[in-house]
Amino acid sequence: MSAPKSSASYWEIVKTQFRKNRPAVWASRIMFVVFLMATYAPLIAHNAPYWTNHEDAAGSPWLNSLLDPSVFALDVDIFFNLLMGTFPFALVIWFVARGKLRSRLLLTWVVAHVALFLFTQSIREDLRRPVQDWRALTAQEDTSSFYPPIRHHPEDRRSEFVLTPVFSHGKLPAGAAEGAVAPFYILGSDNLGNDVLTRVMYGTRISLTIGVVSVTLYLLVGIFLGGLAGYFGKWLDDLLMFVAQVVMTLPALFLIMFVLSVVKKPSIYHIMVIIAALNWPTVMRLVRGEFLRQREIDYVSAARALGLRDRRIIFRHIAPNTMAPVLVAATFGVAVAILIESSLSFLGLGDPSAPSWGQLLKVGFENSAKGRHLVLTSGCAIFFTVLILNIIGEGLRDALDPKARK
Amino acid sequence: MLSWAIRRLLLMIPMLFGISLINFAIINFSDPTRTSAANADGRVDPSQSVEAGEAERIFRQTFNLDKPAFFNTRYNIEDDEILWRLMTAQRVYALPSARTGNLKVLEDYGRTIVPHLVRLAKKGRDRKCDYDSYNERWKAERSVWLKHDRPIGDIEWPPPADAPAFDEAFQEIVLELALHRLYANAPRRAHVKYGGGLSKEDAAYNREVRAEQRNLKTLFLEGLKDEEGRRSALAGWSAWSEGHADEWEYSFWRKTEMLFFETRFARYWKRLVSFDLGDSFLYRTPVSTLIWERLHISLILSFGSLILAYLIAVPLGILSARTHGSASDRVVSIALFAMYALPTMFLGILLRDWFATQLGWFPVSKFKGSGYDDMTVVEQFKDVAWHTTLPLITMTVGSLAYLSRYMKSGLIENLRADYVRTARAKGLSEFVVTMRHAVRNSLIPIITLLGASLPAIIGGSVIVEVVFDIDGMGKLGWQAVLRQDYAVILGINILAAILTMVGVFLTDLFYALLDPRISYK
Repeated sequence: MSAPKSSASYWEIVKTQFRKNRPAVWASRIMFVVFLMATYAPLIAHNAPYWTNHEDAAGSPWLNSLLDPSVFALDVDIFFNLLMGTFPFALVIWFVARGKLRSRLLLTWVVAHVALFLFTQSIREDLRRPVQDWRALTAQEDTSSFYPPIRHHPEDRRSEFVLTPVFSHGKLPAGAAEGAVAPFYILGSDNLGNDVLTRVMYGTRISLTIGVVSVTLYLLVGIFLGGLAGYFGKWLDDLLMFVAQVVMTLPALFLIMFVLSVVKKPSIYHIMVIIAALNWPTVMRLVRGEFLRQREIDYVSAARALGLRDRRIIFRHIAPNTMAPVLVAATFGVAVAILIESSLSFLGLGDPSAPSWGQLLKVGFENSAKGRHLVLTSGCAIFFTVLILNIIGEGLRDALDPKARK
Repeated sequence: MLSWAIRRLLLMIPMLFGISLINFAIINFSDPTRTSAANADGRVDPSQSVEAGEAERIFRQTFNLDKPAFFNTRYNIEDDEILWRLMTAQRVYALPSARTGNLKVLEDYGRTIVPHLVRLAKKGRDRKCDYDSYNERWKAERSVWLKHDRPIGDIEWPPPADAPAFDEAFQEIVLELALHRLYANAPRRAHVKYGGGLSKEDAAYNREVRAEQRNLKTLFLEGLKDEEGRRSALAGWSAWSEGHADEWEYSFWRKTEMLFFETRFARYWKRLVSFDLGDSFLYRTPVSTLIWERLHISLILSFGSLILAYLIAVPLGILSARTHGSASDRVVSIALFAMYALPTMFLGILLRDWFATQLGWFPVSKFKGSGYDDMTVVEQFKDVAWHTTLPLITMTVGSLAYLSRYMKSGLIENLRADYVRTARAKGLSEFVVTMRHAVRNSLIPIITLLGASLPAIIGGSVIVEVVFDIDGMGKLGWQAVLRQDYAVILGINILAAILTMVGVFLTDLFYALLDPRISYK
């Protein structure tokens, strides 16, 4: 890597600095792979064949099931299944376009994807098809079919193959038909007869969603309030800082438990909102501090002398300069959100319908004799994801810190 | 300094107010009992028994959910309003949600509406209830309900056009329903107190209440018999209510008091200020006793791990700052970085499985051994230490990594500072330069971290207590959440907030004492 040119912009310098940090670069590559794995999970693990010639379902049951709410009941799954189709477009935009055009096209892509998702949600019930046992159908004679490498779905619930150990076939029940083949479980099965590897893969979707969405939520709130407090100051600053202080004093886990107990049927959306509601003060204080600093710098006086409105000064001039510490906080925030979610699921307060990592950990904890593989796999999944995110965050912090530059 | 401390202490009052306000908002505006009678689509849950209904009513009364949130204007309820609710709560063709909703409102009114009910019953007896205006309102509301156009259970919906006009029957039904409602609403409830005897006044009150309950029950049973019975029961009720007439006479002061103080909000604060945390319905024990029994366990865990973390983190930080860049420093840094990412429950389960279940070096669970009470003090200490080793390690690991990294980076910065160069130039030994000059200054930000990490530490023992099955405050709160024991949850929440605030205050105080540059005025 060559030293940054004197004409390089701030973010170009940051990029060069970040690229010098080998662990951080590798961590972001791994994170990208994890993201791809979460997105393309059905391509790797699904109980419907890619293709079959069975007369009742000739064609691709796999493709047909992707948006089917009776196969994928969670909104998150539908979102990622759609992403399987739309993500290549984002890649093309990334590699073909440059500069401002790239960011505009990417924004368009995000809007289009969300619109597509919302549209799919609105016609959700029309996409419902009768539930079919593809394994039984394709096991019939003179049927040939082509399956994903792992023939499991996260909600398989094959109660005859409960708590299978790692890397072994399930135990066939006593009266099984001759020639029946027990399914193979790479990382064993859980207490309901679901493949653990599949569940961990699909659980990535939930963890990433909770992390990203809750952090986005509290970034929005924190930046907005922090900007208000830092720019206008006076009583507004005092009031907002006081509220932030109160929220930071709250014992988070107890409060979250309290809220979830009142909610009765907690969903992942509740968890996202609660994480956001408890974490905005950190971001607010960061942004406020930066605003207080930036407000005194000449360019703001210049902007004011030009007669610009407060709104324009805040959003166009000061805000972009305060984003560096926020970016670092956001990266660590995703990791913290993932940890909080898994703790909640572990305590039995998560979304019971979502196959999250914390839930696997809980099942493993409850079946301590036979469930050690559950604890290990899900615990390692949480551990490595958080570790990778922390390495990226650390790299970003170093890259953004002028003192640490070499 | 003193004035600063006093000001900080005073500032804790509005902070506590804010925290309590959040708790109030959560429990009151989400109203935990609201959904239980009628589920999401408005149908009444047939599995809900009479006892469950009664338990729910007691719950509502304990948490004052039967009172309006901020302003109580129940001194001027209109008779017609009561009539409407009374009849709609029973009407077959009303939507189930309308039925349960009205029934709940009537229950919430409690003793306040006794004179209204007596008046209504009399009107019914004299065939003077305003059937027409009731029917007008019914028609208007029904047209709204019809938009929900769907069959509900076995009931024919929409109602047949020739549903009987029941002016005559109406009057008798009003009488009957009013008598029923009187018996449901009029009796007072005896004081219940767990864990400790009733005071003399309370016992006397309870005797009085029980006598009244018996008296009212005979009236109620008489009203169940037939038309004749209803009329004589009504006479009894009206005589009884006249005997208590002063309860329902609202003078100006009484109205003001009721408007502002007989509300959820005022009652909530009254209870908080008098440190009355209520009773746990799960343990049938006052919440304060429950928490008091468990508080020391959680505190030992939290502060034990905190002290342990500081004891290890500070030397470790110094060491790796001195050897910055070397191979050993790399290894330590990576190990600490990994430890920081370890989820507490994962680490706890792993430690428990390896060191307790497989190797048997430590006990699998609990805070103390079975023969704890018969041991000498030294043995007791050893026993607790033996039991808490694994939980303490689990709790320490995360904060340890964070603290020593912080210590290290602070110390490195200080070692590069000019004053350290001056000290070296004076010819001081490297040891003195580090320990006397640089370390002292880098300790200060570490102390501030103490305040920031307190909320996490007080809440953080929940997971460890669950994994190691320790009966501390965290596990108590967790079980209360799972079983919806709201009194306990509220109590723990407030207490944890107070503990955190006190901790933050003490940290600031230490900070000021340690750092001569900081003076609070």
